[in-house]
Amino acid sequence: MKLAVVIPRYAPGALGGAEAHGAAYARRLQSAGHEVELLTTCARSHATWDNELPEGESVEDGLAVRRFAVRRGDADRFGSTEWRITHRMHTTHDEQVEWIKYKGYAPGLCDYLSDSDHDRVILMPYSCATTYFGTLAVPEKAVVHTLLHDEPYARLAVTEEIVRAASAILFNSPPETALARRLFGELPLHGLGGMGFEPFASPAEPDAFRARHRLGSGPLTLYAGRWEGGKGVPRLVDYMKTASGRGQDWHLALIGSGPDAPQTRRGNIVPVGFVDESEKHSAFAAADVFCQPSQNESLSIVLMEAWLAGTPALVNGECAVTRYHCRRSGGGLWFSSYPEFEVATEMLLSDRRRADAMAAGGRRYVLDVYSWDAVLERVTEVLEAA
Amino acid sequence: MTAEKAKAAEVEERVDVGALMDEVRRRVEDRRSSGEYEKGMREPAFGELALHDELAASANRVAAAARMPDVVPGLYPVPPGSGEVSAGERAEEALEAVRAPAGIADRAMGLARQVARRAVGNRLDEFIRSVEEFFTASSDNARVTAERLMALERRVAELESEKAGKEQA
Repeated sequence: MKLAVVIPRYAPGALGGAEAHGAAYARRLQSAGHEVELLTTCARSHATWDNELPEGESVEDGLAVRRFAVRRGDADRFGSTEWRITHRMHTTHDEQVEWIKYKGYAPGLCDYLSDSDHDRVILMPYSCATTYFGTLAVPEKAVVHTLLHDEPYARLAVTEEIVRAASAILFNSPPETALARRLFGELPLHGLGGMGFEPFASPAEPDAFRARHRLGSGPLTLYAGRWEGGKGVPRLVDYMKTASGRGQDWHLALIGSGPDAPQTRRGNIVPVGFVDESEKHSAFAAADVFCQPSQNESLSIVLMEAWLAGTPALVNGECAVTRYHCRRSGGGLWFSSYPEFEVATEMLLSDRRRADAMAAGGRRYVLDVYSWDAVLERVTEVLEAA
Repeated sequence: MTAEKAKAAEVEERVDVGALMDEVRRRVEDRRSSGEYEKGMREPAFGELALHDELAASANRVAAAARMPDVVPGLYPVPPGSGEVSAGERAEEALEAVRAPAGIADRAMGLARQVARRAVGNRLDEFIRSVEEFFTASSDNARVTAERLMALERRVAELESEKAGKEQA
């Protein structure tokens, strides 16, 4: 098949989760024998949408990439509508269209899609202009990987318009499918997509990781990702401080970066910062518990990586997706309050054999459901049926 | 993966995490009933309940107002003597203000604030206390309702997810 994968930005080294997901799809589908091009904008930043990269065609690491200039909208109007949307106030369809236009509208991309002869066009994620206008430009070819979260944007008319117009929808997990059904009722052709995972290529050095970051040999909880309020990180940090105050000798190591966590070592909180793939593997393997405190996940890549590294998980009980993964795999527990967090952590730490069996269940789940082979088989099925 | 974890990965047994979570909740209840977890540790926290953001913001504003010493003198009492100014001292202060024109505005504001504090401080204090009591009672009720709603919501989402999972399997 001749395929296009459309993502709002593609700037290696500055990719968000959706962009990394889309780029991985493009490469994997190309490796599977499809003719693939990656269509995106000239923007690097999703905050400014400035055209920082040159327009036109290029081949990047063997992948054909075509960039289109963003025509930026009115920032003030965007800000005002964004505020009303996030505060769940009424917005008209016209306002929503203007709002989404600010998020990477590239008219050249829509023209190109309309004029080209792709068999299918995969677009992601749902809340950006490239997906909205791209889907409306070629609805009969559009296969939208929504990456839907239970958030105010999901309840907009423009989101429903994407779902109604697309030829097919891909979801990351069954809870995401259930959420879409709840929001939109009857769905068009849809299937499970998701990100693919493989076992870590590099060997883990858990003891060396602990030594490098002075983590001792006691119980260690790990978080990986952005240190932001929206990811539940302040709550996790508070819980670990409370645990310390109650005499628990647990440490929390944070990998990633962000404003909403201590930037320097404070008590039992150890901000490690950015690490490479090999160090990340060591971090996951060194941890006794991997904690994913985020409430809004449509897949949770780091949860899958933790299981691949052999570490059981503790997730936010309010997140339907991560809780589903834990329940299905037997790979983790969940919490909705500090007491549950404390007791669940104690249970994961108290029985090593059980914790390892849980991690093994998680690992099997990742390799069964989210291996690249399994993902590509499902996605290809949807592409062919659309 | 470490050697220990690799060995564990061979374990084919699937852990029943639903049963483990029942055990987690049972232990939490035991500890709660023995008074181990203080009242403030009941969660979800007010701001995280399924209430409208604006309501939570209002509660936070009231709570913040209760921490402004100039606004609520009763909650943060002024050290003995320092808040009580005699008529003679007030006259002296007024005279001093006239002698130092640059400080007139500040001093006048200070005097006005003292007068206002005496006039409305106690009533404001009482009002804030009433509002706080109202919010405490309301938030307790809201918490119970929201916890039940969230548990129901969670169960519905689980059933829907299971259904979608079976269809997509």
